[in-house]
Amino acid sequence: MTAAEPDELFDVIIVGAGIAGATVAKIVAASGGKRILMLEAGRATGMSADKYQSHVEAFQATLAKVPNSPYPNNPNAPQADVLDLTQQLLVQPAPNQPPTSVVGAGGYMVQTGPLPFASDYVRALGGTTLHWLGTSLRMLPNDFVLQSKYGHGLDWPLSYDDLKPYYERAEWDVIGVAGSVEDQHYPGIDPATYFGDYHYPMERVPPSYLDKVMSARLDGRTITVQGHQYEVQLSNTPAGRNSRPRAGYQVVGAVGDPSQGQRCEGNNNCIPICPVQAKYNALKTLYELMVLYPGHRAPAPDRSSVAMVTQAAVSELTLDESGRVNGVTYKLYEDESSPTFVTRRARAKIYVLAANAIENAKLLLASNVANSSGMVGRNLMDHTLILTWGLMAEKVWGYRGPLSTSGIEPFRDGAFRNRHCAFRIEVGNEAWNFSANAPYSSVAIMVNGKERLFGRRLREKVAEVLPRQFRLALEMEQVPQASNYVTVDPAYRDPLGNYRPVIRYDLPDYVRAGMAAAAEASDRMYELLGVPKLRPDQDPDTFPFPGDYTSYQPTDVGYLTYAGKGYTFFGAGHVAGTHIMGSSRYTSVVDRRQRSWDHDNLYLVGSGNMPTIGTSNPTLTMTALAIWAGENILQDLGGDS
Amino acid sequence: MKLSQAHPIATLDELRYHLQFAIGLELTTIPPYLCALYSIVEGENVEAAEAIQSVVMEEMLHMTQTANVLNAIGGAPTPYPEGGPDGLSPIPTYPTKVSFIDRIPEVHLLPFSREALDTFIAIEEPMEPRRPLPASGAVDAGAAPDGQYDSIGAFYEAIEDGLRRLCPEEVFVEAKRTRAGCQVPPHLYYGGAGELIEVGDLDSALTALRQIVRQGEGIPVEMMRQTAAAHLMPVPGSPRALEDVRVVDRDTTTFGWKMYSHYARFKEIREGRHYQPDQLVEEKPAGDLLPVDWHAVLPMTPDPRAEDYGGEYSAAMRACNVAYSGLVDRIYGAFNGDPASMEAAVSAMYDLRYRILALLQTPCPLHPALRLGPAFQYRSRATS
Repeated sequence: MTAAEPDELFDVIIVGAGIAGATVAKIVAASGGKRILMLEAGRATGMSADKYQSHVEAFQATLAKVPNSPYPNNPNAPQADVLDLTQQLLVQPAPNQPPTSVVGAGGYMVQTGPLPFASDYVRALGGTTLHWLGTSLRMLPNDFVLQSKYGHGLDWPLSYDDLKPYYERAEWDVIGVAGSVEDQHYPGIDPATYFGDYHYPMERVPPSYLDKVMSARLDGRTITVQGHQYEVQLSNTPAGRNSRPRAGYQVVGAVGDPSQGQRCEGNNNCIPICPVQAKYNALKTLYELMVLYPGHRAPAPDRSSVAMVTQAAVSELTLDESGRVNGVTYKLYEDESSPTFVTRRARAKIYVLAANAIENAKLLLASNVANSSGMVGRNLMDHTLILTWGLMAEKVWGYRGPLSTSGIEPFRDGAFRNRHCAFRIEVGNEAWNFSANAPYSSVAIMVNGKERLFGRRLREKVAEVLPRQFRLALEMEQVPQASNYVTVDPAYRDPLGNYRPVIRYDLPDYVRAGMAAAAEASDRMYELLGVPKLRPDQDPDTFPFPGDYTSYQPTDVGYLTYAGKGYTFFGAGHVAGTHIMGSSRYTSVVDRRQRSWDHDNLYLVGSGNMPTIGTSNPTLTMTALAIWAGENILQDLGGDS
Repeated sequence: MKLSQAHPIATLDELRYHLQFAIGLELTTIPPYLCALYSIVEGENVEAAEAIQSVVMEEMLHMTQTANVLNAIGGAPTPYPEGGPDGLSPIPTYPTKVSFIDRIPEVHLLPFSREALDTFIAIEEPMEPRRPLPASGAVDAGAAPDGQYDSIGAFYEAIEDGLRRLCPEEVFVEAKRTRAGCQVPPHLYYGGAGELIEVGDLDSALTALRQIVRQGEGIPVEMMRQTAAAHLMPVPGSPRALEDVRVVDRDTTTFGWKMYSHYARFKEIREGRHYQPDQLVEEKPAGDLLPVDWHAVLPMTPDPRAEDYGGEYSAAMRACNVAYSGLVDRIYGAFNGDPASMEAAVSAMYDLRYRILALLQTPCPLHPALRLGPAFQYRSRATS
């Protein structure tokens, strides 16, 4: 079915209304006189205060509070859910057999293993910032030269210094980051050159009580990991979370309810949803665009126009004879429970894909564009996350404050990167919620387990155990590999006939060795914290303390082994690397300007452009890159406007 | 000293005494608004709850702003100002009648209801025509018999007049020494329309008071004659000026723009409709529906008092009073040079909220169909 060619020619069409797309739109629109169209496959549910509240209620009602629990699946713009992983991997390949193609019974991603790709993302207006943690760490200078410095991964065509001014703009103009430069203790980093004369727009979110206990025990202490010594120091984590503004910064509250969310209230569920929107989400930027540049008004020299169309799932980019993109085809549906849609076309001078790394790759592959390198979909990456958890000797009062306010950073860079990957240690304030679905599971064990507690004794036990729970998350840098990929297969489509992602995923020894080193570092820190391994005579179901309760079971979905030891990994939700930038058109999909090597009016944005991901959560870096892309787009539009 | 419109404020002490009660006046409206807000069943009447909450936050801003003005002229904010009639405190006991302003009706603690909204509208309603203040030294024969002010606007106008006449620069300079460190700075305060103003001279004092009057109480009637669109306040968290906000049109009202004056916000809830952008605010809102479910409300006992109950009921209500009193004391602590006290006040607000919500879940022993509620009976730490 072909639709008539539309008359209207936009300056820029952006596919995907998450943080990357919103950032590009903001940069381009700010120059005035631009006509912009944003196409979002998902719903606009979050874009008003009362509807956002419906997400909060869905979260409150659910038992498994996983990242996508507040955001119901939309069959016409389906999304992965970590709870689907067992279904996606229904057919495990037999030992020593090549993986066989399997179909997720109820999931969205079709995974062929051997390991599960264990992350999800949100397909709705605002994108995955709806459930991000807010961590806004910059990458380290050596993360950009991993190959030339350590012989692993790839080098970027950009340096940290190139990106630094864009980091500052991302922190001030888009996300709004709370943090203190003097709190950042990174290995081999001199703050005077790394940050220069700089401060974050908001003061740091205060450290939690757990942070203070950890600092008292760990700061300045030296631990030995794989024969090398490292000094431990907690760093207060910069976060896209509202706190006291510094001079010149205006705090941005909730969308449609600006008196809400002016400060973080410590609700302890940043993931999956900040109930007051003190944590940044891309709805805030989109709302600003809607107010400043109403889409139904024609642009004027001093004012752009940004039209947003939701429930518009883009299915194809088309090319003209010269190889330039000449339109997008999208399927507009009214009712998510019905696969009925109308096909529309839209045209622009410049096209931007900002639909998440997996969705961008899917769309490029479906359209057979931008792929002369053969690298589209390849180098799929994520941060590989394992948890360790225990009970402290004294109460440390988890379950309050933002999910995390500090990290332990000495393993983010160092000579060890010749041997194993870098990792970052995140201190969690949510006790055993992530690691064991506590407090629910803990109480269930107290009631149904050996002790059969009820009444006063149960209350006393809850009060003894829950405040002692704590956890660390060890997050490994995954390196790019062409053999980790997302592809499309005509056999697997969603109700609108768009492709579902087919994923092949594994972790190399470089990452697994880093995982082992991280677990060793965690053990050493538990010793300093006075938390020993549970003895065989101690029954974990009676919650003796102090004790290290970390346990990985071969039945866990993310179970893997390295050097004879087992670990259970999770995805960190940091989907990256499916259309990497590089300095050669033969090995990368976009150039340093974030533009497709193959089509001079096609830009790709988002963490898919990142050739390596270091140990920083990628949102801040992708936002900085999107600002850079927006500037380059403006330059390309140049004389036109 | 007397709070009276019958003659202009005559001395600096009298002006400070007026400002003590201006702080209390801002505080007076907060408990009834909180009763309405917290009695709404969670997740229901979302737009109404947001509007009321935004007003509460502005009242707290105004209270702090007024304290900054008092500190700037050398006064020390206190719940027990000296020099007036015995026992007259700026902090009310409910139900309360503001003794020095004629047209504020008796204020009750009520659950979210039409009746409560009618009171809120009456509190925030502009009054016109405003009689000119009497000339210095003269006695105003037209004033209310006991010398009450006509309206909140008239009360603030008298204070502004006093500031101009009684506060030469030396007063502000001297206060910077005697009340050093007592200005609450803007970064310690958030929420509501507008930013907290630090007061250091006559201009900033007048600006601070005008912002209060403009946002809610005693809003000048000329402004009411403006259209709803022109009535929109700059939205905090955006650098946009009022001018830019006017580009907001009907489409975006449904996304929750409700930074009107308090009066207009309450009228929208009462009528269950938004204004249209070209409507005058004195008209009945005739725009999009603002859905209100008057039944999705916890049936709070009107004007509850701790002493009306015994045992655990009374204990829970007294504990709520203690939480409220602690919050008020912390706020006054922040007005007296202890910024950490403002931080403690934030957690005290949450403590108070949880106690109120617990009371609203507790059946009233005297009327089983009703629930208990917060009494907001203030006892300072010094006397409790």
